[in-house]
Amino acid sequence: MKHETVVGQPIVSAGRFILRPPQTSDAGLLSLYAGDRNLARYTRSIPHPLPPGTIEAMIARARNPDRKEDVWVLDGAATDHAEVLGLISLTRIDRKQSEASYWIAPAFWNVGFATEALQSLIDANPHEADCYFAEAFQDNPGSARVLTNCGFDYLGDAEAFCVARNTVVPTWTYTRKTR
Amino acid sequence: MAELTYRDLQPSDAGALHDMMSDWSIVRQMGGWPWPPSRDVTDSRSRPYPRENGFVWGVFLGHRLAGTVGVTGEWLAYALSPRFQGQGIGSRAVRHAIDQGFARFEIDRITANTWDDNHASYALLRKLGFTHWQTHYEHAQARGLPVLCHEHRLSRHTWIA
Repeated sequence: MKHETVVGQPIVSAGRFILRPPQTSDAGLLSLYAGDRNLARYTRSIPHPLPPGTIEAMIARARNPDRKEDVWVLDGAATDHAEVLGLISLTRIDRKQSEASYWIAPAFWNVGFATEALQSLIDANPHEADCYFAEAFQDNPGSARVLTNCGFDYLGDAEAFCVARNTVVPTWTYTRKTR
Repeated sequence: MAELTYRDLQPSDAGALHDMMSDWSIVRQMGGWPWPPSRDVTDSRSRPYPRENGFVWGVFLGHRLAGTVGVTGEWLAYALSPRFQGQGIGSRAVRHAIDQGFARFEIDRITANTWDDNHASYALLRKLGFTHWQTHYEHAQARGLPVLCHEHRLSRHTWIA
């Protein structure tokens, strides 16, 4: 399969899958996964119920040359996994610093996909960042374990608004230097 | 009460702006100013804000630069020289900037950040009707480390009411 290219965003190999830019044909599977309340409640920005067009708009943003956030799809098609397993993204927040975020479809939880994706992306370091930030909701310790598995260090407590829950949720913030 | 005037920053303001931004008590509360002070950075900011989605003005008391205030996109930022603090100048300047921000741009809300230890700025925002939205860590350039940062929001509806 030929993947559509997105300006300034490489395809990253990650063992059981590849990380590639999202394409319009991903909208169906991404909408199916993102529509799951058990997923949305652990993200900042996915609303629940999922309004029509939300994922299509996200894909369009991710393909905009002026974007601040680079989004990769975890694509397992080449290794007999599902074509879409989840998403991982990096957002430039300051000089040489980026924030990482990710979600895995609930059907594929607890098999290490998030750790594999995050570790591969940091190794590739497409933003050439000196430092990465990431956060996890405090009621999602599995997500925090992904960060510590990838060498992130705990920085402190904060809180973030969760659209799906319509409230502020306590978070743990982590950081990792790359050099 | 002495009248404040507002205008775009110009290269001729660079000296006064650099004096102000060479004060650690000011710069440590800023998001994107360097420490030690850099005259090159000051010079690069001593000119009119280049985009159409906002403004950054010098706040003048008479001919003296008292501070800066701006609304860019939906973001409010301000700084006031210590010599002019405690006189209500910051409050008047920020109030004016919010008025102008909502009048000039089609934005539904204005957002402002305060570092966790900036109690004075938080009190000012609260007085003006801002409410806490969320809290995150952000790299403070002058301090050279991540600092807890509170994000506050003011809706157009609240401001008009």
